[in-house]
Amino acid sequence: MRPPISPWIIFLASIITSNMILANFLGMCSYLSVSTEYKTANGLGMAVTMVLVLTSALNWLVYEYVIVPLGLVYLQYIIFIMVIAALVQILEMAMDRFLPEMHAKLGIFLPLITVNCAILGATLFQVIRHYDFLQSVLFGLGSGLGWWLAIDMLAAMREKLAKVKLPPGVSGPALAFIITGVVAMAFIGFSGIFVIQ
Amino acid sequence: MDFMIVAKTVGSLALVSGVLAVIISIADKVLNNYGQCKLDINQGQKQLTVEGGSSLLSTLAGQKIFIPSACGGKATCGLCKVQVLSGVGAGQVLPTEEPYLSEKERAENYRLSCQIKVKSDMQLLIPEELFNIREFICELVELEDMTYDIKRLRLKLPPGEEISFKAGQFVQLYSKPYGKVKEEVFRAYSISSKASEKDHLELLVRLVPDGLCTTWVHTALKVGDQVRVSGPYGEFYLRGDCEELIMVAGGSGLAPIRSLVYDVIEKGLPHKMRFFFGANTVKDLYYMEEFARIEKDYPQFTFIPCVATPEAEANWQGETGFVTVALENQVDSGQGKEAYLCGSPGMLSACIRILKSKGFTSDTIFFDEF
Amino acid sequence: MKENPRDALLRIDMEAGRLIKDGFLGTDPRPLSEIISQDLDTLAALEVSHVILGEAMRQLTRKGMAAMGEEVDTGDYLVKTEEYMGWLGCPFKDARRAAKRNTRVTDKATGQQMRWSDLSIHLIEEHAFFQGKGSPFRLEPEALAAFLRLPRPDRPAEA
Repeated sequence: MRPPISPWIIFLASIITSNMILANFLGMCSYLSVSTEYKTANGLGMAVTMVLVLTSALNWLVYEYVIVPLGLVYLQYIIFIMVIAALVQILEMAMDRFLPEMHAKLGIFLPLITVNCAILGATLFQVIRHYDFLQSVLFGLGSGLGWWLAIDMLAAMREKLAKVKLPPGVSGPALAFIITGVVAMAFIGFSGIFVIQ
Repeated sequence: MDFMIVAKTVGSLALVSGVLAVIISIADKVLNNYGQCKLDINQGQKQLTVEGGSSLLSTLAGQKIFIPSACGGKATCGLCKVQVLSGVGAGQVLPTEEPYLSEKERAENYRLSCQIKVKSDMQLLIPEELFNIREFICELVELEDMTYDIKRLRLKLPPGEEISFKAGQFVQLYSKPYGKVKEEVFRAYSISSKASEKDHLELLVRLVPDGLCTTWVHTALKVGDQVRVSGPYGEFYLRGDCEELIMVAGGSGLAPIRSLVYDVIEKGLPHKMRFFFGANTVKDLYYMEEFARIEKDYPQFTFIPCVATPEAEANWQGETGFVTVALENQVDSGQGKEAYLCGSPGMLSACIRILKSKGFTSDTIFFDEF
Repeated sequence: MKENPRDALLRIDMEAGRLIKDGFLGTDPRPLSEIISQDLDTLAALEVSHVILGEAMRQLTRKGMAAMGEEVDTGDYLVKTEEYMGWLGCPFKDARRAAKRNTRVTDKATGQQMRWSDLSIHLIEEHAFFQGKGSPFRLEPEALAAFLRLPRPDRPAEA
């Protein structure tokens, strides 16, 4: 059942050819609203990556040892979301307790990440493609890094473009969409190097 | 059949949410409940058990150990430094603390107590003199307008209580919620009354447009109200290792200077004193008769009020121009002198520049910027 | 769009009664980043950068400071500064603070007056934050640029 692809290929592909944002257009909401400032975007990217790795791992275990054995596959969406929400809560508490500097920087983003569809998306992709544990974890890590890369690029460009005179109505969400579309097209250039979807 | 599926769905969802909820509550208890933390102060001199979760500044204040703060814990005064030997996470200084801690201080584990939270047992070093700081619930017995924007407060300490302070030090005044201000705010105000008077305190509060505490004092406070203060705090007090004291103040900065002047006189100290008081207009002058009287009774004291732009109708005969002009002209050298300054940042930096050009050094210039 | 969580955190201290009595946001319901980006749009249309505006304000304030509180004639303007003791921290949590100094500037040609504080210079220069609509200390970007006669042909519009 497990696809015969090396976990490392999955890792690289999820960053480059199957980028969560640029190829799958998942996680767009926070991507668009938090990409106006580079520093903030960077922080969110870091937080999303961290959450993605942990949820991928955890949800794989939940699927393998709870959902399938108990025959709850038809409830998997709801259960995954509940697990994600709980994990993010606990992660925030743990960060505040053990990593206060990191919590000061990233803590405010964690509640926002719970509803980021890239998180649930990654979990569902790994279920559909029957990834094993290592593949899932690396897929989660790569998806996170790819999301981080995309938001960093958009934020950097938006910050530079904020100082430039633009035609009326273009700046703001319209510009973000245009940039994202152009970057997504550029990334299509990578397609074919690795194929995981 | 359908009923079974529905039951299974509801049951499993309930079970899963239940399990997750339990896990979250356990995590909350374990992680968020900092629980009781032990604070070891000065290598065992004081040992306290406190509830974790709040800033070190407010936790210690709750234990009646008052660390000085002029800004109410907002990281803009840098006065609340405390040495934290252990218990505050790998010694990484927060960005909000950075401007206030020098390399040397960081090496010695100084932190801003208003910025660090009590999360585990801690070992602290707190200067002895801070243990003398106490809290007083005073009664406001007099509230007088000294100028159009400066009020004098006279506070009576609770019966039997006394405050011992060095002239020049300040207290923290705690305002109560009023209008749009929902919480208690505290700010530093220098004591303007005589150090010999231990059962009363006088403060001079100048209304700052948009200020939280000063607006409370000027609009909400009434004679007879209870006012909480803590103190005394501060490093601004008489050293006196000289023959003459050059004192400069502007606005409500007059407060600690008044206390210093009376201190020198009451203790019979030999120092000559020259007090340069800067005001924008004649309307901003106050305590004029009092200082004129002191000048008459005590030849060692000279009062030099300077008005920057006197109103024509006031017929001002004294020094005109900013106080730095008089300072430049009338102070010849720093030899055998100490300078005590209290005023706004601009006034302070201008005066310090002039004094340093006359030969005063960082060791002979003392200033209070709050 | 949703309010950025970082903005939500900054908004807490910008409300009235937290750092200053009337707060920095007035009655403005918009998220913080929207307030800033819409003001930036106005500035982009005028071809003036907030950094240049802040610089011009700072130069005028410096001239007022040099005159130590007396009203000074800078040629185009009359400038008077007034100071109070103590410091105000920047609500953007960048660990910067400003003196409590207010500058009142009168345009000699039109008689128009504008007031700003040292903190508002920092907020405009570093954060492009002109304060929320309804705040008594909000400076409208177009009005400010016109008052400061920016952009000028001899000065570049960009920082």
